[in-house]
Amino acid sequence: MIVWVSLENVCKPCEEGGLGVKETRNFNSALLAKWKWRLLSEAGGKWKEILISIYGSETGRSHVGLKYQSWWWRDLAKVCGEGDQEEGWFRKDIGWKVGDGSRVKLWEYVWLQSSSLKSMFSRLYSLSLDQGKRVGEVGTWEEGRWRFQPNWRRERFEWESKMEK
Amino acid sequence: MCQEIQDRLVWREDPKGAFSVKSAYQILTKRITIGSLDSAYGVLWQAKAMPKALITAWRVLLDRLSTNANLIRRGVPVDSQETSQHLFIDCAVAQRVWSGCYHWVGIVGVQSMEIRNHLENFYLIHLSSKQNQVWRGVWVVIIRSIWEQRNQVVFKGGVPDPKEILQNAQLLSWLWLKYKAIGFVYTFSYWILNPNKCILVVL
Repeated sequence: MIVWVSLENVCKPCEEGGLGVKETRNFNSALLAKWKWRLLSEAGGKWKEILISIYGSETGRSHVGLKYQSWWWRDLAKVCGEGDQEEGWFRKDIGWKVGDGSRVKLWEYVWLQSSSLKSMFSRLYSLSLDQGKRVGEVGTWEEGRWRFQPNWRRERFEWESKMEK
Repeated sequence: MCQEIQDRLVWREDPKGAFSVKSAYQILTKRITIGSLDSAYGVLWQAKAMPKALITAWRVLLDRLSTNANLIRRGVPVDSQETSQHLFIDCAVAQRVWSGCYHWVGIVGVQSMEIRNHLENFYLIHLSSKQNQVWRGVWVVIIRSIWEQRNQVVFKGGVPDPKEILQNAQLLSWLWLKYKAIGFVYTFSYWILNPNKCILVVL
């Protein structure tokens, strides 16, 4: 039997000469990503509480380790990454919009630029005492205005404080 | 910072920051950048014809039909170097089919051209875009009809007959319209005599 059109071409959209057949592996990943998205983005709900009580945390990392989790949970972690990691297609495409600063981790999450402050300024990160802290924990509200107050291991050199600005 | 609203996750592919499975799938298949968009395919899939004929035409555009030239490329020993371009457009039989088809709707002058352009140029100016989708369905069934006759000649012998090819295509398109187009109540002979009037029924 001769194969006349490769599966790769059949899976292209119709306008590009394919038949628009779904690439099931990628489509499955996209569907799994929706779970991950809802776990990370939605405020709460019973379904989420139940999942967190089973698996430990919404980000995918857990106290017992992934090895002992269900296939579904392990697939979620595999497709979308675990914890605070920035690698992978899913992690690269999510970011945060800061409101009250109660969820976003100052250094680790992507919220100011297209990558985290941690990976942009790794030197400053190593000097910071705010590692792992939420944005809202690094400063105070004074008469309705936000005052950012970062804490450092030592006084910064002149060139280092320039970078901060 | 704003005390009143909570931190919110945003999906950066989307202007509003909302996640969608569609955009995730597009990222994964890397289709976000429009690369190989070929207008001929868009035109083809909008054409009104039966799936069997559309698939044949699709394979013609891709040049993935088992023409002799393609069989030779795949190591099948056949004697002539028949290409899609020759079989469907350039060949004298095909030329007579196409000119017969143009003559049917009252136009003259057909030039030989590359197969994709041939499809894209197959429209009538006085028709709406919906009506031209019907008209391009005729293109699709002519392709199918040529292919069927070619197989007939190759496997059962005989000589190709342009008239028969066109008539078969006219029958296929009439059948399709009769069952699929609302308000198309014309008889086959009326379709043959007044194709322009019949197409206008499609709104």
